[in-house]
Amino acid sequence: MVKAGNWRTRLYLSIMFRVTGRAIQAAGRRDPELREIFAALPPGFSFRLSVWPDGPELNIETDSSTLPRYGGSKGASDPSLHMEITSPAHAMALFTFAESTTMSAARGRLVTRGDLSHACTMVRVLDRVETYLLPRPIARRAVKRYESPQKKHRMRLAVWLGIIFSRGGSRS
Amino acid sequence: MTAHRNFYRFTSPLLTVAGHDALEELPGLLRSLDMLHPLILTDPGVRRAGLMDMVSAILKSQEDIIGDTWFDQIPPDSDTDIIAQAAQVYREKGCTGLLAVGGGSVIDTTKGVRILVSLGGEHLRDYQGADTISSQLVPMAAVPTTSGTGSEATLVAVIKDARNKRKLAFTSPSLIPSAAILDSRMTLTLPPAITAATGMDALAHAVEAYTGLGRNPISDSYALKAIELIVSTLPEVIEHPDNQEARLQMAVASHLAGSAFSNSMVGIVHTLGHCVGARCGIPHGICMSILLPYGMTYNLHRCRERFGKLLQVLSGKSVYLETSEDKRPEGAVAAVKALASRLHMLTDGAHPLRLRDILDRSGHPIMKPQHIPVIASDALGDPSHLYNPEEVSLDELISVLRAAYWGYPLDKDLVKLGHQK
Amino acid sequence: MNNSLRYSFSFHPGPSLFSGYHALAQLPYELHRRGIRRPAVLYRKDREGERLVKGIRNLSFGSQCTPVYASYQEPPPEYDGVIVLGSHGDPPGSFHGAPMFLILTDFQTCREVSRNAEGIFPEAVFLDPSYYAPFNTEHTAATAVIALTLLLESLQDDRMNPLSFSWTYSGIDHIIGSADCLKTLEGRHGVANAAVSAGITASNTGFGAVSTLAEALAVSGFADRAETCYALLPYVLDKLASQEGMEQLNQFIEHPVTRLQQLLEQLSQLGGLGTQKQQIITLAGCTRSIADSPQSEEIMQFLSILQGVTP
Repeated sequence: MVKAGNWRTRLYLSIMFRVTGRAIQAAGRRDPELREIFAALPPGFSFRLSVWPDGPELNIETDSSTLPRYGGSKGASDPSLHMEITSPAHAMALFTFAESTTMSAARGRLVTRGDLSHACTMVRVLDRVETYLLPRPIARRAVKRYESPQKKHRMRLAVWLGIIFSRGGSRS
Repeated sequence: MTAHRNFYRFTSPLLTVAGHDALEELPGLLRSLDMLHPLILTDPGVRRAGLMDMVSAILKSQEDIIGDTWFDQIPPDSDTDIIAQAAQVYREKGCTGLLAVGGGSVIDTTKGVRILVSLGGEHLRDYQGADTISSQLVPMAAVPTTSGTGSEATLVAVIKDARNKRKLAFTSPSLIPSAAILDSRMTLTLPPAITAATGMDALAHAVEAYTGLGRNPISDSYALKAIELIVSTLPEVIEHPDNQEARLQMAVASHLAGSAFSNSMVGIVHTLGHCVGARCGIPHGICMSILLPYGMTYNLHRCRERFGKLLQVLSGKSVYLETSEDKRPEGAVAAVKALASRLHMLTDGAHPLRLRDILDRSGHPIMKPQHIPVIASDALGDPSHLYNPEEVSLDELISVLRAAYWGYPLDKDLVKLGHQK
Repeated sequence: MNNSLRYSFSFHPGPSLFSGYHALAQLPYELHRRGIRRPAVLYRKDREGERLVKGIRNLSFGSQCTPVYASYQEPPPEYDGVIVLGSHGDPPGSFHGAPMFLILTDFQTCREVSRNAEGIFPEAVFLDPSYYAPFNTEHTAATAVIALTLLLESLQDDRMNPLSFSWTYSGIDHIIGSADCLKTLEGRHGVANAAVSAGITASNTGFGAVSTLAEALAVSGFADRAETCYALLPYVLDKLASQEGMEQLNQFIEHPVTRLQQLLEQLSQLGGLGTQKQQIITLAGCTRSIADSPQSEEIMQFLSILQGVTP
């Protein structure tokens, strides 16, 4: 078990946050369902996921074409929606996929500032992205109901290429 | 329930006082909470029913308590403007706490006022979210006058934004009132149809708390006790509205159910119920009563053992023991349906069993079939479905609504089965 | 109707309960939520205390919160919150009204989570299995018997109400669920949950005759607490069989009387209890302190029953 607050936790989480952020950007621009979800959000929507007290954070903003852009640890000073994980240990449970986002929220480990219906949307986005990011057996632990997306392999490849070659968040 | 290795949190810091004359404890309670000058919030209906006179009489005789600062114009669909007005009164009169006397709308409005007067600011929407309100708020006591919402025990407040008519949701342990007074006299005059609908609302809270993802051993226990009390009391209280003992039990049951779901959150029944209510203006309790068996059926495969256990409190131990284990979950759904049918009968049809049976004044269904896809789409944005044990999709929500609308059984084949236990 | 509410009641469940693995990871955020910047972490300065403090030091408190570590007996002069580490038998004092966070690692009396002398509950209680003190099966079984006593006696009290009943049922259910795995951490955790339920219930309904007697005998060093509970619990069960509390329990547990009798036997075997039964009866008779107890009449009644059945 990785102890909360030590350097390995920090390193692991910062890598996972970067991967997840870039994956949201890549998948959100290619997957028709995710594009639809992002299009339904209000214009100029910004989202931040962070770990309290001083853990990594990821910022997503939708641009004028309603496509998501990953901004690394730089984002709006007051994002439309801010979800904060209440401790590094809980973030580890979430990002080692021992606990789903929903369970984390149900256990009061996700503090959400902003419209809760947008929080629902972002949980759906995270779940969807995880099905692209993770092999099926692990993704099944992270989401309530695993549904294999259409053209999964092609999308998965595109998402991973997006993660590797995207410059989004490299400033962080 | 085995020992839970998994993490849980249970919060219920409020003091509950219950009894046939519990209201007499109010002065002592106000003193102990250090709120000698409360702003008393209520609605015109409560006032008309004479319930405020009782509160007034009790507070009048107390020399150290200023008990005549009122805000009694809370409408049924209260919003942020009303809250801003009440907050203004609170500040102008220099009040030191809030006393809500009313149903869910009054108590939720009071929670909104509590946020504004404690944290300052003009816009309630700045504080919306889950667990974001962290400071100590001014003291608040609640005297519920319906037995259903359980709002006097919960950390939730849902308030309409007057600017764009959207619902703002707030959840935080700090929002749980400091004290709740459950007095049987407060619900004695409730008409049977409202008693039935609010009672089924409490049942829906308890059932969803027991089967939802956020459940824990204490919320389980609260939920089971609540269901047991509701089932044994609700028909009685409709047949004999002046049975004070039964009225008190319903108040306690609704309180238990409120505390349970405040800790475990609710699921698909509330997801759909909120949206049907918002689109068509159908009372919340009626939506809950109609949708509950359908929501249960939808989730049945995810926790059959738990639904089976519900049969024990819904139908009693002998029925439970006589029913084979594999039939118990369906038995629980049937028991809820049977209770709703009984209420339908006892209220001479005033308690509806299908969504299409809810009629407007000219006798036409308030909800139309074309509302179904719109409501289902709204529902995807309602946060409560996050905690539902089974995932929901637009198609599935439409199927559930259709079944509840026309009153036919939900086709389980239309539900895509999730994998996680 | 079975659930007659003949009595008005009031109920205060008190603390927020954080239970399970990683429960303690939530502590820093809970301090942050309440704006606590300088919490005093109070612990016993022995090897066990040092181990626990190490766990606390590993948590990320953020830059705005600086815990001050001190001995339980000597709190620092300034603090805005108190974190009490480990079990001290009785509920900790009130520390000038500062919010108190109790991290329980062990149970001796099952009164650890109850109102203290000033009538105050802790703000929050943490039960994190990773921080439990070393335990053995005998100790866990003894804790379970003490908790069961508090829980069953709460069913006899006039102040029993649907809220207290819910806590009682949850506690009993935890003990039933843990009885088969008392050797394991999971069993220990289940019993810990039951002990918290017992303390909260009893704070609201009152401590019964056997709990009071067990306390008196244990404090005066005459007899072990769990031994007293084990010796007298069968009489509580006997009396309870015809009372409303048992009727309510019957709705939730199959054959509750038999089930509870079996449970008690199982726990006594695991805990090696029953060796002091005779002494307890004799000692109880000459313990002066019980005469001061408000329940002394009931205790005397028990003793006369006991002496009646003892050859």
